[in-house]
Amino acid sequence: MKKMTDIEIIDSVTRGNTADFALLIDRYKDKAFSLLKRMLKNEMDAEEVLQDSFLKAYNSLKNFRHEARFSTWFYRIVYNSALSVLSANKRKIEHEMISIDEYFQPGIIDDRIYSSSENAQEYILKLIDQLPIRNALVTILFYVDGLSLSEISKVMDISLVNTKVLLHRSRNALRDILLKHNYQEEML
Amino acid sequence: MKKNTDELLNDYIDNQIDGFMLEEINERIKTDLILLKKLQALKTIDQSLWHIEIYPAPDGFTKKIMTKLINPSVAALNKIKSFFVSVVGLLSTSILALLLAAYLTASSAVSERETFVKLDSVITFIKENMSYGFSFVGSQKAVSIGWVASMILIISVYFIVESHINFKNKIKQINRN
Repeated sequence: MKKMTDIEIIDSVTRGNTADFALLIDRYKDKAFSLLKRMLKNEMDAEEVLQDSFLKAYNSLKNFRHEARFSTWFYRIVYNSALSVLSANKRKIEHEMISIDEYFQPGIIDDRIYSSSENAQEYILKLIDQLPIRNALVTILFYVDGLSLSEISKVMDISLVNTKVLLHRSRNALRDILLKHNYQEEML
Repeated sequence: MKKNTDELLNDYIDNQIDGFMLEEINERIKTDLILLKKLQALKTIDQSLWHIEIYPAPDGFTKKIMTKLINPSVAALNKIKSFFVSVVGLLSTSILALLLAAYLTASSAVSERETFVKLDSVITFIKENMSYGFSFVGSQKAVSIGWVASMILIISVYFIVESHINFKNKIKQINRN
């Protein structure tokens, strides 16, 4: 059976086949959940925001214009919903205002993660969760969700240049830690 | 200069460099050991990041959403049900408490006459308080409290409607973008 594209599913749902919306949920729930879990650092909040995001997306589906990809549009809903929860919980986001150079000084955390990691890859992946929120988000949207820098800039409502800077800084920060432990030679 | 080199290396692994610049970097890598190490590390990071762990959404997530979408009344009904369960629970507890109080009163009474005297005093107590309640409703104090409560209610409704409108506008703005 031919796999339906996002646009075909949306057309079908807007024609009245509500059940087809399940295809979109199945397609995006895991990646969006990963994003939210990393943003909110709490599984229950992540599930609640994800539910809310899918319901908002469904209710606004008729207004969806096909100029952008559904994923970009949907992740924007997810991102804004998560920001609302963060600000409501007053956990917001001193991290956002601080540059990665000032904030990302893993120190003791780095040593703990380093000693508990069996290899360089595991070590790097654990460090992702220690990045400031916006840096982690750009990285995840780029590598996990496969969004282009331009799409990420739309999701997060920042300029393309800033998006690129965030991604590069995340990589450079991780790279410096890797160099500190001489891990790059082990992996290559 | 450091920043430029870092930028270039990032662009290099993203295949965003071509022509003369690409040749120049390739030449520099051959002679500059630090640059080579940085590039190796950056490649390692890039390769690892493609394997970031994806946390699966909780079991039954799709079904939960679809139930809400296909039959929104079920969700609403559940809320109403739980409301009525709490009200009925509260009432039952009150009735049980009253029955218990009545039983204790009756059992502590020595004679039938004493029981009636005690019941009389309870009824008198209720009557007094009811008349106080009625006089309170008609008083200026009650009118003031009513005004304040109404104002709070109106302001709450305003904020609820306002946040709903804001939300709708946000969605419209997302679509426009």
